[in-house]
Amino acid sequence: MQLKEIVHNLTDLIWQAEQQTERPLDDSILSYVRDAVAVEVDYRRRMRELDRRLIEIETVHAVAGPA
Amino acid sequence: MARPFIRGSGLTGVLAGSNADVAALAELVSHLAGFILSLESEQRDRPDAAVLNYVCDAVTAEIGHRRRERELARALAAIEQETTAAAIPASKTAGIESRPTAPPRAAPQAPDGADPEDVFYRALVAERAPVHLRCLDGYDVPSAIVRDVSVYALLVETADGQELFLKRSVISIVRR
Repeated sequence: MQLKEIVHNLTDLIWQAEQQTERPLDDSILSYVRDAVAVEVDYRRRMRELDRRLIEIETVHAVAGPA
Repeated sequence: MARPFIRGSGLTGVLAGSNADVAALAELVSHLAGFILSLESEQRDRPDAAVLNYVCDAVTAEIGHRRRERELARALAAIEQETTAAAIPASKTAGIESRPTAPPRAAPQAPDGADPEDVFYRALVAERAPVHLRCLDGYDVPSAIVRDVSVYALLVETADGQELFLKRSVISIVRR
């Protein structure tokens, strides 16, 4: 999904929520998105780093062979 | 891959909407995180702040635009309502005015309820108009002025002086 498409979908979602609740929700939703994405990115980075470390561990283990 | 923040958040309270909204928002967050990480892997920089700032600014601009459009639509609807409300009485008035009107009646010589005979006599007295007076018995006064009127008689001034005529004896009075 491209960034423009994400923006478009997020705008539609906020707009629909505003229509339902009849109150402005852009600030609260965008604040949530900002925090949620930051946490999600950090989490994926950590997972990616862990995956690398796991691969390294497995590689070392494979080269060394079973003790 | 697990998404602990998204699953554990109070999104329902933020959105006050349906579960579909929450799921859609969680999916968007996931896509956005994936996009940031894909950029990061290509550029070896951390584009988090730039991407998130762009998304927030773009969404804010789009939402602001939609709100302005909605306000304009409401204003336009109000204008149309006022225009329609003003046009209905005008068309009603126009309809009334366009109807064929009856020709004006001739102005009555006597007010409603007044005796035409009485009105006629009073006018003669007031104007001192010369009249030609004829009686049932053939008595004829070519020129006279009605001075006064009572219930049964007329006081008339002739060339010979004043005369009293019984109303029932008079066959016609003609202005000269």
